[in-house]
Amino acid sequence: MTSYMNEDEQLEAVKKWWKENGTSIVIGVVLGLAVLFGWQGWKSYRVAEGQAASNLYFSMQNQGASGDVDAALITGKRLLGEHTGSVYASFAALKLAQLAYARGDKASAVENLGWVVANAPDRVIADLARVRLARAYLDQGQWDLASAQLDALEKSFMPGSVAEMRGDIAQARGDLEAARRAYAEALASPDEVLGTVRLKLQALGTGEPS
Amino acid sequence: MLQAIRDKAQGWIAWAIVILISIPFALFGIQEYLGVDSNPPVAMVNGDEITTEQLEQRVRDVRENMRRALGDAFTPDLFEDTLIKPQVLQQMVDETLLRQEAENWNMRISDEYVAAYIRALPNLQNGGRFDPGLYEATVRSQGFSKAGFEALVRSDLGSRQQEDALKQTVLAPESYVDAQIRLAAEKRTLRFARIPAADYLDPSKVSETEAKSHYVEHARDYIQPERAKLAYVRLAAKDLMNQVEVDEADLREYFDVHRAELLANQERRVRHILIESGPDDDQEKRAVAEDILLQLRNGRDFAEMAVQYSNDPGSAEDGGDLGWVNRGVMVEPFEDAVFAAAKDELVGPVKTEYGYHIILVTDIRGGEEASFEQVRGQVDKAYRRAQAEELYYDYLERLADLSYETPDSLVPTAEALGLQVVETDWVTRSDRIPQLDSPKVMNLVFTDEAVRQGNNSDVIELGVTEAAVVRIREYQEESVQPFEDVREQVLQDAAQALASQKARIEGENHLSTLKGEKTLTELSATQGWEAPEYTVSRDARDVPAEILEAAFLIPSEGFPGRAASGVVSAEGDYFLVEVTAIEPGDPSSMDAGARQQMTASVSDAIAELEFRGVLQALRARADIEILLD
Repeated sequence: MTSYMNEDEQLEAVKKWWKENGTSIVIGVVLGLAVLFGWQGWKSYRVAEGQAASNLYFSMQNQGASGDVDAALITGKRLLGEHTGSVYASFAALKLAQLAYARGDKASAVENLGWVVANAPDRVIADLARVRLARAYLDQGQWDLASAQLDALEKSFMPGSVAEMRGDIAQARGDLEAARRAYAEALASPDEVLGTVRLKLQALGTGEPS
Repeated sequence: MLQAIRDKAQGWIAWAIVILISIPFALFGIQEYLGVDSNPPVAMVNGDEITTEQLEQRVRDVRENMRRALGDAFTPDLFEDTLIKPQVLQQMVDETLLRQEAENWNMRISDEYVAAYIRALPNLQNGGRFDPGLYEATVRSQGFSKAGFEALVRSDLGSRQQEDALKQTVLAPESYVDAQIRLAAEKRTLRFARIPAADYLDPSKVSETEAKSHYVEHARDYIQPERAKLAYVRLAAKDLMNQVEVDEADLREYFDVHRAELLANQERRVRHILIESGPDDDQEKRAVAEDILLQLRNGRDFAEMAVQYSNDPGSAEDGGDLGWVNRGVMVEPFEDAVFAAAKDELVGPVKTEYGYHIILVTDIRGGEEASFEQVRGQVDKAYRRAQAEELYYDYLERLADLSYETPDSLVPTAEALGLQVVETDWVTRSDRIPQLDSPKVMNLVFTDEAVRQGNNSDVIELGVTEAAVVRIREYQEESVQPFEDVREQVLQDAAQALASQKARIEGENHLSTLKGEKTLTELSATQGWEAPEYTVSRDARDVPAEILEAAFLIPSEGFPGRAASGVVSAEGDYFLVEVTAIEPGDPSSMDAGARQQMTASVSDAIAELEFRGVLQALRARADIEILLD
């Protein structure tokens, strides 16, 4: 049909079509470009964010390794504040906990591990922090707090070591029967455990008069 | 113009072009449908492929590393594909998972960090500074582009950062270290008494029925492993020496050509008298030696003087005779003197680390002074050896051909080569036949399909110039030996078992006494046992392992101050074990250095467990498909 129009008519038809659809096309193109650039921008922002956090983490690690613990603490704190959601902040908090623990500052260690539990971007890292937190509580004789951390774990996370800690808690509370059961469970678990678990169970015996 | 193209594009040429162009399109992707994929994936990890080629490459790397690490101890069958492939693949799956998580966790290694890392690599430094030229050359020599190398460094740094972040942040709780010390360094005080099974051993008491039932219950003990009677033909260059035809002209020619080698082998027959000396009496002994030398010069008999004075216990009795010696076996000053001396010339005194020697060379053979006639025997031997080696390779080829042509017998092969077919009695895989002393032989005999079916083996190289072909004459599967054949053995074993059982019953009677009021010391006094006291840790060596184990199995929780237990040893004896004290390891008495070491080892162990725990959690939520068959 169009082939029968002359040039003026064709021009007119185009103009009319543009009038009807032009706005939406412009909006569409602008939106499309915005999304495209936005996505690219988001990606490069994410990369830059990751790299910045990574660099900070590396310098914290170097400071810790070279014995400049104060500097490491400052860098670590900065990571926690400036890159809270980043995995590197969680790593830094794990490191801070370790440094604090080594200096005997158990309260600060517990605080930093708690920070990881609250802020880690991945459940698995939070669980790892919980396990360490439980050990730290055990070390201070805070059985209920330790037990609560174990209860909050994903069920399948480190079942052997978790059973061992439950055994430690039970034994500390004087429930030898429960301790025996827990250690036996730890040894039977397909998960690997420390060699001391076997010795702990042997020390308790079977509970039957020999 | 379009019209022109259209007009021209009608002829057969146009069609031909169209058809030609369409062929690749028609076939494109056809391999997908035919299922021809030269590099199929062996595993899928959340949609990422691990390909056959990647796996093979890693398996090769692992094997190469093990070969380097183990050196001669490396045996290829330890690292057979079926054994290591699944492990290597598991490792690769884990690595893939960790890499994917690093991406999800937005872990990034910045360009600056990669650059700083590379700049600091020691092997890229020149005079203490990073050398870009050296960098480029090094990278290229390893077959990388710079970009490729940097990508590799980045990924390596990334996985290390991730692993360190998980492992190197571990806590080592003090209570864990204390528990470890208390348990591992625990000491126990114990006594034990032995009730020997031998006291109850009486083979005549074992009835036929008892023996038979022992035989049935312990059938495993009477298994005859698979075995075979072999026949073999062995070819060795050494044995061919007699077959070498020798004529005088050849020998002379050989002597002329190899004169230098034969001369180097000059041997001298030597007598000596040794006067031992030390730093204190050096002068004195030297005078003694000189005095003896003087007497010898004055005509005293060397052999008699040697018997009388020589301090060399090996030769004094033989009149100082050391026999034929050649270069390279004696201490240097002695050797030099021996080879500088003329025949029958008295030399000395020569000082060595042993003392003063007086030397007499009584005969010389080989070497420069020797004529062909003098060393004829030696030449003959060397010539035969050389010829036999040539013969050997010729025979080896014929051996391979002949034994392959008549696979069901060795006789024609042996006859054609003038060799013997040797037949062995029953041998098992763990036996060694002295004439075929190589583990290769037994492995081949009991695993090679063709040999098991009764064919001749391939030629097996036993040594540099030694080879054999083996066949099985008779083969027997692993089987339980008939009762009649092992009757004596069974009777003895049954008697032993019975004795052990009686010792145990006796022992358990005593054990209940021990669990009552009586101590092992009191009981031993009435029974005439020796039961000395030991205080031991878990790794003690002075107490038999079974007893140590029994002693440490007694619970320390609620230990009443004395406890008893019993155990049957591997030899069937019964041991009564009494523990009278349990002393846990004392964390406070451990010195700081040792404690630090302990803490480090505990935290390493915990870190490793935690890392595996994290990996396991990642695996559990991932979509992993193993396609390896």
